[in-house]
Amino acid sequence: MIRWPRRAAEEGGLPTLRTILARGHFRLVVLAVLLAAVSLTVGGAMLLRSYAQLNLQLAAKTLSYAVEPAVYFGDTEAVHEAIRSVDARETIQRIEVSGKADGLLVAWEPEAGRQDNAFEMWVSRLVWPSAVEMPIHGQSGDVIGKIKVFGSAHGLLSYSMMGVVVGLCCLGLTVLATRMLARKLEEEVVQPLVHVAEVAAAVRNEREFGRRIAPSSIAEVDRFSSDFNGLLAELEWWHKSFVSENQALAHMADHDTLTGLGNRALFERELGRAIERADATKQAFALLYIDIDHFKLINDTCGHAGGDRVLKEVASRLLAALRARDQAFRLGGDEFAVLVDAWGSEASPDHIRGRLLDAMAEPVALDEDEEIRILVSVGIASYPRDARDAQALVRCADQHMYTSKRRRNLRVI
Amino acid sequence: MLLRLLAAVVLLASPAAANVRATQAALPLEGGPDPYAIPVARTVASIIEYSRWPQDHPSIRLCMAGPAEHAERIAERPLTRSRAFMPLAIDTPAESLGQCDVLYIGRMGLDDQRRFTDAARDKPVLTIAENDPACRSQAMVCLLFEANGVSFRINIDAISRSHVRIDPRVLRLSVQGGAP
Repeated sequence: MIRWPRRAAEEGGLPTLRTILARGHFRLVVLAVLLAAVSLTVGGAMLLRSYAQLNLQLAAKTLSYAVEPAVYFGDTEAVHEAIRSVDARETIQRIEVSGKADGLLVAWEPEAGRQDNAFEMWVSRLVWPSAVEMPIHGQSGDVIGKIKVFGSAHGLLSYSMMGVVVGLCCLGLTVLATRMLARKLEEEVVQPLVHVAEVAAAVRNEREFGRRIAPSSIAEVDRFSSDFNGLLAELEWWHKSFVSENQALAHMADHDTLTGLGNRALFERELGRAIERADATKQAFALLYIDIDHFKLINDTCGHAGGDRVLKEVASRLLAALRARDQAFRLGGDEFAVLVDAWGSEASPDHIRGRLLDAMAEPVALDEDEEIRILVSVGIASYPRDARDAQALVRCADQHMYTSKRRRNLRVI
Repeated sequence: MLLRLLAAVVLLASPAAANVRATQAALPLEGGPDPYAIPVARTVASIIEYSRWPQDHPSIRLCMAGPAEHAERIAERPLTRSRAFMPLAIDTPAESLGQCDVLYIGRMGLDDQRRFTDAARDKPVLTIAENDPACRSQAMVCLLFEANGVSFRINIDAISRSHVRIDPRVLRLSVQGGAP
């Protein structure tokens, strides 16, 4: 499995599909979360502010009700007590109660240590720019005094702090959940493409034309995959036919089409190789030159088809007489060559010559009722005894063959 | 019954406040020949202001029983809802029946005070005792004369029996405890 990031690095620093998707998702998530956070914060702050205002008014009303008899009695201690009984520390930082004529009766503030700090004062002023003023009504409904309440952001701030913490936790969860979903989506989109890229790379680098892309669950990718698979199938077919044609051509280049034996070109290559091998292993090998006697005569009397028939027969008999590791070639016309590799005592070149001659003893059937007896001349040269290079070896084998032919022709004549 | 409940709630709700109040005078003294006269008048008038009778009368009939020492300025106090005090001196408990809205009991023995409060029981009469700091006379409100001012004690039992309804917020202004 090829990992995507490494491939990305191989591809010259271009951004991967996954990075683009991830980046897009990340921006989307951040934007959505920010928008939600901002609208929630603004909405929440406005709601909180209006509730705080209402709350302060309610507190002022409650206080006004609680201190009313005390104000009527003119009992400042009782006013203090009534204020204490309401215990509005969380929402109120200062209360001023004044009677109708007496001026300021009571000014209440939380005891030292529980008073608002500078930040709370600042927020308080922001939330409640002015104090809430409430008249104190007596039993008959006439105003007997008034109460002034200054709001405190103390409770509001601790409540908001809690809200902020909870909100941040929720935002974190949202980001996490969205990231997970986005990752899953990326996986689903990117995985099939990674697979396609992997198959394409395998086809290109390892020539695995047999590879195919698995069907995908995404319609576009699936269509692409099937087209790609079709292309691959065509490519595979082309590749196969190209290879087999190449092989045929290569075979034709160094093989004789009539007999199927190697031709002169192959022979020269194999001879060079045999010399190298013999030099390396310090072993001897032999070159046999074979020529069909009076082949021209056979051609003239039996026609070229008969001549071809004879050549083919000679080739197959040669192969049958040789060991598996010996090689036979048709050099041209009626000339054949055999390379006899590293022989043992049981198969010396002379022994092989004998076997070849034996093989040729049988007449060749030209037709159903026509046979022809053939004779071959064989010249042997062995390396490195007779010659030290290929040309000399060939010449030597050739000479030996002609010597043998002349001797027999003389005898025949 | 409702009042008793309210009073009980108020009493239960502010035990801490009660401790504080017990040591402090409510209304400070004023100058003049009788420094207690004005605070007493103010206290009585305020309690009356926060009291409700079953029937509203255009005037508050203030009955004085026995010799009162600090009550001479009460009738001067203004009242809201265009009511006015109508002072009345009574000598016997029977006289309080049907004539009085407020019965101010002056200096007399505890038994005499009891006779007046017994007569006022189950009637729409607000009873105020001047000379009963421990509030044992079954008067609804007992004035307390302290060195630096005037405050009052209430008798929850008497208030709950009475047909006069006192605003529970006023009850909170009273000095708590002490009544047997």
